[in-house]
Amino acid sequence: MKKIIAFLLVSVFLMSACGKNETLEMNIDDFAKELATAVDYDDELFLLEDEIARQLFDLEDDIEDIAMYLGSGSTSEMVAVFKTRGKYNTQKTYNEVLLFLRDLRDEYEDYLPKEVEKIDKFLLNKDGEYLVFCVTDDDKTAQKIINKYFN
Amino acid sequence: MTYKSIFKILIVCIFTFSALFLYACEKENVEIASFSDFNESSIPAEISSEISEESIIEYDEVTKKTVDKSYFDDAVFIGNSRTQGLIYYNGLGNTTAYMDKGLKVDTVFDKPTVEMNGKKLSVIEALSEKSEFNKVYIMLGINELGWAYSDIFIEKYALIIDKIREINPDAIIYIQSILPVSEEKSSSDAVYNMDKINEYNDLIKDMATAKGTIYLNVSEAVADEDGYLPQYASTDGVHLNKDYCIKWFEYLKDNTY
Repeated sequence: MKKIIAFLLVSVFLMSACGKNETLEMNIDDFAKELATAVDYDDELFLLEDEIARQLFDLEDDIEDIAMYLGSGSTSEMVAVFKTRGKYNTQKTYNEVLLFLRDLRDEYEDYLPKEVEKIDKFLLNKDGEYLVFCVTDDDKTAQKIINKYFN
Repeated sequence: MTYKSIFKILIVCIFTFSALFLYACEKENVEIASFSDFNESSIPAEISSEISEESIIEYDEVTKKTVDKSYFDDAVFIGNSRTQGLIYYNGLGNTTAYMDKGLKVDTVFDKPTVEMNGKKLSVIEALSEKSEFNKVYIMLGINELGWAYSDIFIEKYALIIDKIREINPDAIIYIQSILPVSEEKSSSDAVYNMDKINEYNDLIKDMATAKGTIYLNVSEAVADEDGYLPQYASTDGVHLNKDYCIKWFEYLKDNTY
């Protein structure tokens, strides 16, 4: 009986490990679009040109692709999905996004303090070479969409 | 003295006066055409504040031209959250933009806003560090509408122009009017309303003219027939959506000198 349990445990472990080693592939444009359209926002978000989106982050060598939606400035709401050049670059991107969000918070703290609460609820998830962040009050819906792509 | 000699002298005089007259006309034409040379130092102080509306329109007719996006590659934009919308939504990736959501005519001087070489600089410090620009576009004022004294606002605004001239005397300076807000916003807000915006825009226009800069009434690019920002152009009645930021940029492209 012990042998069977041990075999089952090892099998489960191996299966889960194999699952993690699968290379995640996705269309970041679709992912960002779904986050920008299926989540509730107070503002209307618009897709930025690739060049502008890249300039918002100091990550020229780390990002392979980016899809970003930004509001008009009336709120702090935004969405960005990155495909990086590797897991190391994903970590660098993660750190850079945290700095970006800190600056965003500082900017809104003086300008529209009510937005700070929203920024503090930011979602920032990474998986392999992909990273996503989202600023919204509807964080539950946003997280569901992120989970759909990342799990 | 014979009649022949008198006739010769007369001919010489007529020729000389004609030449002088033609030279004077030529000079006048050059001055009208070179609007970029039109700066504060060329206007006597007592006249500078009395430049007529007609003279501005005359300059417009002579020198206005339409350009493409590359015209803005050597420009610097200075502004608040509305200017951020203009830059981001129009994909102005080659231009320089010194922006902060709540930027005001005083914080331009002292708020660390621009990241440059690992340091955060004020807008004026950043302009000094990187002074190779040829054009400057400024839009400020919406965040100052609540100030108790509008004369302090315009004095500070004028100081920005002086400072830019000191940093780069050759740059063309475009001063943009404050864009309108929606009717709903205007009628419900004691600060962000069209009465205030019109009051500030009158001050800005006078200051811009007196300083010999180019005043751009960008409001006409986005306002409805009653002078308001259309309701569908903005979610909060203040910040322009992408379509209206594109209209604004089209106006800038059609109104260069």
